[in-house]
Amino acid sequence: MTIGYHIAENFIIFGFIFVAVIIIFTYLMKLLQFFINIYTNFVFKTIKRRIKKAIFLRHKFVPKKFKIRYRNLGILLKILHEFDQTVKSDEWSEVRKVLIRQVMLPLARKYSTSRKWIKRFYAVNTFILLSEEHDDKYIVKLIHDDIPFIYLHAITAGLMHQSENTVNAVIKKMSLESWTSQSTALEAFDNTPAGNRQFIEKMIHHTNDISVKTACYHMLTKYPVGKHDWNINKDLSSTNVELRIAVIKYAALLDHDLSVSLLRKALNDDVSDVKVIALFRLNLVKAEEAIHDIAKCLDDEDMTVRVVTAGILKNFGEKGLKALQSANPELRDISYHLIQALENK
Amino acid sequence: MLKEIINTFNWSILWYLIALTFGYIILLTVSLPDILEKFRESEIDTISDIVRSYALQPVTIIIPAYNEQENILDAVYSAINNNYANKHILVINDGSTDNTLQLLIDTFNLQTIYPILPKYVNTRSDIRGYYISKYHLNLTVIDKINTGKGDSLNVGVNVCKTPLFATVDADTILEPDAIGKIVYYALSKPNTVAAGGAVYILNGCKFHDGKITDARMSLKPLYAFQTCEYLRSFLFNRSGWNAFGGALSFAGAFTLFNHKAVIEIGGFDADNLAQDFEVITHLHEYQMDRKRKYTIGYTPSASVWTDVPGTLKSYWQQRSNWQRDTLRSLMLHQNMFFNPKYGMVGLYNYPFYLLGETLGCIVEFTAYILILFSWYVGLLDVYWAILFFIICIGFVTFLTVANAFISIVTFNKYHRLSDLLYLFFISLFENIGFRQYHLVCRVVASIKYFINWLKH
Repeated sequence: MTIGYHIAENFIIFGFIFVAVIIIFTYLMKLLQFFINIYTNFVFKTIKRRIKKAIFLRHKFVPKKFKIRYRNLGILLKILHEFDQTVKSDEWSEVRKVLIRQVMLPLARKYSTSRKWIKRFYAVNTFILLSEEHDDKYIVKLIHDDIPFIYLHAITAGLMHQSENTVNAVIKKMSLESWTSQSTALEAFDNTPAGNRQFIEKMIHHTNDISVKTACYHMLTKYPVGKHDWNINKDLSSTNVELRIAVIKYAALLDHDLSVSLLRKALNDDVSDVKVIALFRLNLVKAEEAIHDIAKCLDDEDMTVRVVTAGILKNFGEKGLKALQSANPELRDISYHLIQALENK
Repeated sequence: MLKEIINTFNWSILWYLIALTFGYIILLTVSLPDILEKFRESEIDTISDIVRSYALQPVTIIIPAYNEQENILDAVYSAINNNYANKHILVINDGSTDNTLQLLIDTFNLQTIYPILPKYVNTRSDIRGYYISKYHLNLTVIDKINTGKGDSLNVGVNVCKTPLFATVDADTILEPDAIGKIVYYALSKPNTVAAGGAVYILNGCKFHDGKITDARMSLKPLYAFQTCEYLRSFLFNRSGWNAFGGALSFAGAFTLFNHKAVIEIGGFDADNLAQDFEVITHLHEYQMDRKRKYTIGYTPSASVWTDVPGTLKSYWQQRSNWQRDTLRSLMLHQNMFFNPKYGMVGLYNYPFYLLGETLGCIVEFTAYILILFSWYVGLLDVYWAILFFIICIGFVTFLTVANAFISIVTFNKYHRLSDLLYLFFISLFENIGFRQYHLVCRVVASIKYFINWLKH
């Protein structure tokens, strides 16, 4: 029992001292962070001053003289962003090119394999700004990263890089992470080179993987439509619902006649989700010639299809309303009420 | 003989408390780097720029509400005014008998629509009305019959079309960057299925139209005691669990979920009032059973402010419900207990939650009874009793004070010196009286639970 008391007493003393040490440690870390912030601000201002001298006083910007302590990718990205917003001059464009090529890109290559995710994040943001031919291996590695922040931005970097390796890596990643094919994530494709289309088309030709094909079709909706020389009908008849949906979304962008014929075919699909998307796309392409086929969907066993059909027919004006009015109220329950509501509007 | 028995009990309890205290010290130690890192990150401008981007994953903010006419508008405004760009707000009126629904209809000019909704998870209630706002196109309100918070959340899961959703209580106000910071945390880790945020006490604060205008500690002791408790829980406790694979519960007032992951486990348990505990534990079990790499973590930088019970009676009711339903959840997943298949969660987190956090109240209560009994029969070991009070009450008080000190230099929400001094003062007295009241409440709830369990 005496030993027990000793252990308990020592534990209590240890516990209190330890917690007190933790409090002191926290304050010391805060003090350290304070000094780090002062230093970081100093570095930030020094780099800004040097760049301003190069732009406004036309001093030569020599990267070799850029000291190691200034080579902080996080700070450089922030400064670049600030100057991009505030300075619009040829001098800045020149300095910017040199800064990215000779200072930031070597850092980005080094950071792309860092264990710290924030460094990899800075690396990928640098590759979005600019990348060179041999950078595709770094970008591909970042596209396959586990951290969503990194691979989301790496998808943009891969598309900006415009090489077969990086575009294929993007396709592969998007096929694995299906949410990246949602419309908001596809914004990563905005302002990326249209030349990527050729790689996507090549992938569609060569792959049999359904999820890869699905990702390709989603990606193709973001590029100007060109000729397509593969059998799109075969993909529209696939057993995979996600692929059929992706094909329909792409089909709506094709030449009007081809688009309408493909979408009409999709109205006979077994799955109601596919029919609904085809209906919305027919509405988008204003396929008046397909009104008759659309109206047949008022007989569909799925209520969603019937409701969507009724709404779309209304959008076609007089022709659509005629098709609606010929509906049999006994069979088309909610569609009928919708007709009434729409007519009374 | 009696002396031997009392001594055995005494020392068992003391060793238990030493082990528990050691566990809390470990949590405090491992939480510190995380807290400091999150604090450093939260000051980076880059985060603000990142989370304003529309390219990030859209989030649905689900707000279940039952008779919340006093608070609902502030909660909804705080969600609308949140600076996360890509969000939808979904309020679920759980059959309120007051003016909650009418208030929403009038304030946000809600119009009825008739969508067809998928059924990802089972729900008990039919939807009575579905409204969208003409003023805020990303605001939707659903009216349903009263079936409880869990079922309301399941309705929200069915209606939600985004890959992420955040559950927020109707008496809670989000900080403007709360959603951004929690999404930032979720997207900076691989395969995040759930992420928890910090909760502070709204009572005592001044707020207007969903925005905190003056963050203050309430002078009312009950609120102040709960402030200490929440600070302890949300500053170091949950941060500490990140190092061990993630806590088994986050605050129901503010948690972010991966939509697909919640659908896979069948949604929330509609019969459980501690659904926040149950769903997180279930997610851990589900992911581990399938040997998936996942993240369930907590970030103290994303914070909200919530109402807490203001009377002893309502406080008793809340904590009884939590205790009973936490026990229920733990028993449901008892296969995780010391099971190496579940990694650190099975070997450390679950046993600590069960034997320490949940059943610890019974051990402490037994100690009080033992002290009284020993004194009555003249066998009280005074020195032992002093050690017990130092470890049990003194140490917890010291931990609360330590948290208050740490919070000053990290996520400090109370900037007034008077609030900080009051916080220190109240933490000294939290464990005299209030702690014992809380203890009795939890012991009674535990006993009722076990009696019920034995009957069935």
